[in-house]
Amino acid sequence: MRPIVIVLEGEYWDSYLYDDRLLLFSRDGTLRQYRWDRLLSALIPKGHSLSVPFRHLAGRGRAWYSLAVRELIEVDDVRQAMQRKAEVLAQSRLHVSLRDLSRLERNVSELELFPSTDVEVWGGVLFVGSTDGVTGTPLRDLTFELNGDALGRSNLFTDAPALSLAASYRHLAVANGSEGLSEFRIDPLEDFSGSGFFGERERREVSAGRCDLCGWASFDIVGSVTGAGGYIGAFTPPRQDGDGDTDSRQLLGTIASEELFGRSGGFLFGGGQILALASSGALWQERWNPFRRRADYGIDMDETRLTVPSLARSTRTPDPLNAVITVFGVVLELDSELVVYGSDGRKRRLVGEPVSWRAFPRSQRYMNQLHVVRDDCLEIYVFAHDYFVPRDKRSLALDRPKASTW
Amino acid sequence: MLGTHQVSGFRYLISPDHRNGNPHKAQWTISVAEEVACFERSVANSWLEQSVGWGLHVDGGSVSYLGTTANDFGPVEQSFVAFFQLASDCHGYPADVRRRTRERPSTRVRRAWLDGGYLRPAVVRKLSRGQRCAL
Repeated sequence: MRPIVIVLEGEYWDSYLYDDRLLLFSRDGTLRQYRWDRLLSALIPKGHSLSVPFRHLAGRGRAWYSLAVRELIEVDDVRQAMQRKAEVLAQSRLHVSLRDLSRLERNVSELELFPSTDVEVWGGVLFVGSTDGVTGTPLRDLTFELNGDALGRSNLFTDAPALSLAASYRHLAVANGSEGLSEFRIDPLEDFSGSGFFGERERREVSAGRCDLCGWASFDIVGSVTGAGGYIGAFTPPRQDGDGDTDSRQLLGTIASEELFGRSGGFLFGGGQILALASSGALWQERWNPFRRRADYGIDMDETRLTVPSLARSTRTPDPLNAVITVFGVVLELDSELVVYGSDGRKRRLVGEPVSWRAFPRSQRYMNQLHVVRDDCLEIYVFAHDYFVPRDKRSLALDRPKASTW
Repeated sequence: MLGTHQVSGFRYLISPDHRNGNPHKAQWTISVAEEVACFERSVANSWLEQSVGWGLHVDGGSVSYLGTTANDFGPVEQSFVAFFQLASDCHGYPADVRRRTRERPSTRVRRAWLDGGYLRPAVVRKLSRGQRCAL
């Protein structure tokens, strides 16, 4: 099954989707905001026979894993009807012109820290990373107003270079390149402007070892090092207080990809309860559940690692520059293309060196999307295949949300 | 010609360490005249910060490789970015942008290269993140 492709005309640097808000970072250094659902309605108007399936595929990713929908999909003719709709939507690229975008635009802000290295949104706060450090400011729900000054150089809350950002468990993980891997405590809707210049906010060093990109595997942090694997920053299980606070999580140490997979080099990445290593033309996987970690046993590999490393598939590719595991499969960035190894076992090549790209593996609504910035447009791939693959036939991919039984 | 050159108020020294084949030092592969022109372009375009600067070698209208990295931090790689140290006697050498964060161009300079069309956007992004990239 082919993905649905939405093409937004324009020269972009990056993009992000969060809670019905599309953030487009243009190459003129501006941040433009749109309502995602309105953009979808502009593409296929309400009342059209494809409007509802389109809105649900492109904007309600997790809902397809609800028990009710899964039960419906198990009915052959219902599943076939849904698949047909997805296939019709994928037949041609859905194009949004600059004029249409201008009509739908809600807010424009200037960004001082441009070109950024990465952006992240968590708890209603937009974080912008750069080689100068990290800034953050809340996204306002109704007005779409954004305090561009709060994202300026004078409001950096750390001045260590930030090559990659990833937020979860009330912490922002920051890959600092040759200066290591760190994390910062964050709170929903927190305003970081005026939090002080350079480092008033407490920085926890996870590792002093090189870290090019970062992500999360449950509440552990994955530090990726291109060509050298990487490591896991392992923590004690968080204890939630009444406010859902998870600050009690303590750093236990790091464990290198060589120890995890018994092989050196490659690119370590992970998500949920899966660790993966792309190395020597193959994808290796093992299951990792730090919630099983016992008190006073340190990193406790015996309990945390649920399976020994196994070969997920052969790729015959060089070590990737970047990789992400999502519910629709694994995305590898190679020198001049992206390759998606789908949960349906199919390989899809997105040929051409991207300006940038991102997936949303921890999103509720956009977990099935892949954004690829090209020289003259943003391509948004909406993958629907995973909804129609029986659970026992899935290839390497993030676990489906818990409600899913099929 | 080795020695010191006057460039818009800066004294620029051609350092022999970066032209003698020493594997522990980055080595220029462009001529001395091209190295000086690279610094001149950096000064003329204000690709400088307080004590450091960066440069590009433009050959036939497009950016070209200008040297190789030292082997102290991993295998020798081709470099297309020059790193300049500004002092009473300035000098420069091919940058190791992947492995040496300090030698990576500043945000402002990367934006100038992006806006000026010197490098493809994908290359600027990879440069920002210290990722492997080719011209």
